[in-house]
Amino acid sequence: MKNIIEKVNSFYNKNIFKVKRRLLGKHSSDGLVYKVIMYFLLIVLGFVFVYPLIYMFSISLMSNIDLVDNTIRWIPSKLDFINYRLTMVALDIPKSYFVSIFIAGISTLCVMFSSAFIGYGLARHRIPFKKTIFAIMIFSFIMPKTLFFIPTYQIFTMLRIKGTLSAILVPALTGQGLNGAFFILIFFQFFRMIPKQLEESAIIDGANKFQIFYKIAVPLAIPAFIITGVYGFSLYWSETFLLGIYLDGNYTTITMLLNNLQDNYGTMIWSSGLDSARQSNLSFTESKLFAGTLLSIIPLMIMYIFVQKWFVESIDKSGITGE
Amino acid sequence: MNSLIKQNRRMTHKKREMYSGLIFIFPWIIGVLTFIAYPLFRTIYFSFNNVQYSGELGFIYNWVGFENYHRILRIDVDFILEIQNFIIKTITFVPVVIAISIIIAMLLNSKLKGTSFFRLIFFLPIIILNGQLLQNIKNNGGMSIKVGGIVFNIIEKIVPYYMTEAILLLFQMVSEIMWYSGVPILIFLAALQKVDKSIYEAAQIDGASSWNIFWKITLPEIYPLISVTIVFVIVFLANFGDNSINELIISARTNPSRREGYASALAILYAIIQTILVITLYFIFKKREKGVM
Repeated sequence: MKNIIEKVNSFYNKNIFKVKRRLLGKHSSDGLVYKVIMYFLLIVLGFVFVYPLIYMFSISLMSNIDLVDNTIRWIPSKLDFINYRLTMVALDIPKSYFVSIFIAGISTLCVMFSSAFIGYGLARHRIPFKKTIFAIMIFSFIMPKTLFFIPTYQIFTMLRIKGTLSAILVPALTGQGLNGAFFILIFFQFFRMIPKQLEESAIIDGANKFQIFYKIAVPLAIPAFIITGVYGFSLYWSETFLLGIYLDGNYTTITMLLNNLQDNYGTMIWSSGLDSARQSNLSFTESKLFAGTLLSIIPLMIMYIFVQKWFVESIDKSGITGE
Repeated sequence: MNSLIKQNRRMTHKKREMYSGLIFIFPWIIGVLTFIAYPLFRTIYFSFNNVQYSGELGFIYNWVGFENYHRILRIDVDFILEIQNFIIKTITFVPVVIAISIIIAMLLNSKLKGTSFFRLIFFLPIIILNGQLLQNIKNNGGMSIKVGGIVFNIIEKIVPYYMTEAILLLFQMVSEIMWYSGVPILIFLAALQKVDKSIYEAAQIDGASSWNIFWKITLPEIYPLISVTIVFVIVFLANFGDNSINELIISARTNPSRREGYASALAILYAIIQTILVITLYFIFKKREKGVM
């Protein structure tokens, strides 16, 4: 009898060790329990992140009758893209897509070019008052954008470029675009990491500074170009206030149209001669609003899916975290 | 003689380097003068004037001294209210954003499979977030996670009843706060990936617990970045389209009783308060750095 108990005990002891090891791991970071907790946290936090998007998508598919129906919470009674079809007209898609892509694209190209140029100048040269320059940059980064827009608007009026593309491209080319200082600092970090020997050997080969810049420095800073490209594009895509004022309404991007979606929608319904009083599904509700909101960010999301791999890799390589 | 030539050559080389450097930053100097220095001077000038606009004469300025500031701070209430909201929002959001982004950055930095998929999700707000989008979602209940019956019951059972309200409020804000943490997560993740892996291994061999590893290795490693990230978050919140102070300033510009002068005074006060916030929070976290190290 005693023998059996001992046997059971030793068997138990042997196996509890194995189980323990499987659950908790050799170190604290490879056990099953640890993994379960980590995945649980990731999934919960990830859900909280995408919840607003899921919610918007689900509502945007609902008809106005579904919205007031208490029994329907997530899944609409029937699949219908009428909200999207209506808001697409109100948001002037695809024309507004093209305007947005054009404005954001061309400004981002200018920002990329100027930030690389200026960042290189700061990183690879001995320049007097460098500290002052950085102080001014940080100052211009911290200042709210509402501080400068009234005089800037007057400058543009004086130069007669108000309402033209130059009103956006001139600041972008002089390093004063949206978040200009931030992008210059990113390029500065990258160019600072280039070994001096590369530059020196190029000088011996007879290259001048500009040749060094675009033959050696620029190819080495491709991650910075990707970061600036992606983030800058999304900043210009989302900006409505400064673009609206400086462009004086000559170009309407999709985000500007989204800002007045309700008015645009009303005008559209009115001019199309449909009677929104009779057809309950035509009146403006949050399902229309959400459909429009999603439509305004779909191009960004598509871009993000395509570039995210490079984007993340570039961040890994970047010197964002150096000081 | 030889050394003199050498010295001379070095001097010219230095000078040449300086000149080519100045050529590179020349666009920036022009930009600062036209889009920062001159506008700043003009804004300050406007704020002491009563600005009017007429079709024939253009802008007319009447010097009024501190009247605009007096009206904002003593007579009108809207700016004071908005700035209080902004300060409270910033002070409460910033620590939560920082804490959440450190946690998420650490989760993403672990060796688990599938973190690249989660990265995709956590970086998404960086790309898509804008003021109108957030307002649309928030005003229609998309940002507040609806706490279902079961979860609500659990919360009610565990938490004392006077705290349930606060926790439910947190659920309402949590998505919004998290959407602000896109860039901070990115910054912390980049910092964590730079930490030498062998330090962790050595600590594990020495028998340090994960808790100790976090406080003694991970946190000191990323601490210097916290103050930088705070500056970024405050600037982001201040310039964000959802911020109603900016709307106040913009609408003041075209309001006949206020016009450019009043709007400029508003913008200057806002800039000053924002700078004070940035500097205070920056140095609060900068100071403690020495303690942790």
